[in-house]
Amino acid sequence: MTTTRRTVLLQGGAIGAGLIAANVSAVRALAATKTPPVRRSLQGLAWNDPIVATYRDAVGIMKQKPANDKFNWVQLANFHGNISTGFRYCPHGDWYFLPWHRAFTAMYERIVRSLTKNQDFAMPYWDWTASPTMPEVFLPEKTPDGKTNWLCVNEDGRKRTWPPTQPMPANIVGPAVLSTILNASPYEVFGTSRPAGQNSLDPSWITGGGGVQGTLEATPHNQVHNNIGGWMPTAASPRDPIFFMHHGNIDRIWALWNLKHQNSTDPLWTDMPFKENYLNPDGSFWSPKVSDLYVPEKLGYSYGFTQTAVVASSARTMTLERSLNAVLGAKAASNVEAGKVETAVVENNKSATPGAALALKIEVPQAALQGVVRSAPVGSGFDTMDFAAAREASARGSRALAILRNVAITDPSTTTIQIYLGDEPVPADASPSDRRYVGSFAMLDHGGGGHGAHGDHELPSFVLDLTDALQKVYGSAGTIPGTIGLQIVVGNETGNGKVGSATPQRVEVVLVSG
Amino acid sequence: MKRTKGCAIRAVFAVAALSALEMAAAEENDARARVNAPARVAIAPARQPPQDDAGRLVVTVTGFKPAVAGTVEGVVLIPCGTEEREIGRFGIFPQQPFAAGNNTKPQRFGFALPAGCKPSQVTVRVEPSAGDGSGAELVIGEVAIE
Repeated sequence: MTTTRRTVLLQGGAIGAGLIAANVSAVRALAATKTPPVRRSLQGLAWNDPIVATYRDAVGIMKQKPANDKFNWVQLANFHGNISTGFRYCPHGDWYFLPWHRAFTAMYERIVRSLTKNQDFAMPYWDWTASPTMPEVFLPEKTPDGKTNWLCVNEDGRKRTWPPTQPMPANIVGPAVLSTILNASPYEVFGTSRPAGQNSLDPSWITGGGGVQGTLEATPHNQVHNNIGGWMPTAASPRDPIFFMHHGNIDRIWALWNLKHQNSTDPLWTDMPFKENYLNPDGSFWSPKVSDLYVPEKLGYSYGFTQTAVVASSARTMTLERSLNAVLGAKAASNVEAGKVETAVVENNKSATPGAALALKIEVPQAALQGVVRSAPVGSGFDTMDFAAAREASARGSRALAILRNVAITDPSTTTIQIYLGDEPVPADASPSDRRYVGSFAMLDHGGGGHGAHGDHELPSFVLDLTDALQKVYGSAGTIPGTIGLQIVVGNETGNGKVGSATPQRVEVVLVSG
Repeated sequence: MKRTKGCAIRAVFAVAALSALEMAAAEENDARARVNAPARVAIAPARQPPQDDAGRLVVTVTGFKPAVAGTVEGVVLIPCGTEEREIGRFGIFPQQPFAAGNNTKPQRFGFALPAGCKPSQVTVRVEPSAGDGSGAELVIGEVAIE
């Protein structure tokens, strides 16, 4: 296979920090990675689509259960709240809003799988920005085959009131609002702030409100609830099956935001437990804490744009595509046909440890590096929400990728690896705002021997986009160096658990000329 | 003993009366917005320097009455140059009456300030999203740049 500049650039444009497997083709690598079911947009799903049908069947099962059954539809909704007593466990107006509802939606997703015996089910979502009218499959009282449509709400006094053909207004769900949301930072501006005065992990802080609502909660979240009418503007809103389509989209937006931004690392947020707020499908309580809820894949679902836990990353981190190019699939990038792709390789047997970063020096072709450093910066697509255009734009520029092959990670579930550019020691308090920051990754699938390997004992490999950091560090420099430094730093996002070490067997820098 | 008890009772009444007066004063200082009757509120001086250059406008809602039928939303506008610019919208969820008090906190909403805008007051409008919004009322407390 010949690697053209365009294929490399287009693929590279979609990669920030992604996982690739070593010594296997990229397609095989992805096939070997156990990916959880992908949540899909309702747009285009027919009434008899297996996703819609499974959800409808499950809602019917729950609605027909005895009133005192744990999985009765009303009983489950009561975890959120009810009409007479208001909210029960669910937080609104504070920084627990997003993680609490992520777990709540995941709880229903698991229950649906259990009740229908369909383990491939993933909760769909209503992308009200792309499809602002109410999802059609939720509207008629009967399905086209004459059966009860359990997704319709027809209780007296609780019918939805929003006109079926009227779109949700653009000033609450439109692209401009979404752009404002995705560019909001830090977490407490994006996902609502902490309650004023919070000084402990007492559970009373979860439901008290008192934070400043960001646009995500204040505008599309609140107003889509209110506009739909019926159960939705009330504390008993989960009694409308559309609740989970709405909150699935809110959750997806959080996951999208995480591709570019980090969550709060404040222990008052990360360590807060939601004790006995949810049920497992076996009826026992599920009591996750906030830090258990960062990564959708760890909760058994995906939105299709992450293959591993990208805890934080550079602005270009987007998605690892299903089809990878020869650069990533080859055993080593140096095997790739030359041309406009130049590679530099260092073999390595040293480790990054909690006490010492691993510093590597890599000789690179100066002319190719100059092409990358001097090319115009390319937007991530978040600014315009036009990812396709951003990818096309990236194809016109030069790019640099770093491939860390066969990375042995001890204590992978509690270790995060950050990559910085340059030779100067990285300070202990360095963060993604540091101009030398390239990206970071953590392992999701901890199979094999507990060293971050998959089931067939291959060590994982990772690819990161160096372009932004190179332009920031060397863009204003008078001379372009012939050697670049990469520093690999191990840490822990949550402050809990032992920080392990990371040892890449080989590091490759791939420079693609524009 | 009796005298002590009497003093205690008087003290409780005094505290209660003071609290009632404070609440009444707070109510008077709050601005009410209804459909076609926006509230205009002066922006309080920042207690702390904003976290970034532009800062963020935080609108505190201390009370809400829903519309008799349908739903409403709040629209936040600031003067910027020669025009009045909308900087965001918010909904009250759940859409039911509330009044901030002992057990109920106010609801607070943050909006990014456009670069170059240095407003000294804010306008909050009540707009119906469904129905005509009659009966709906937002009580606006402090508005500040944080």
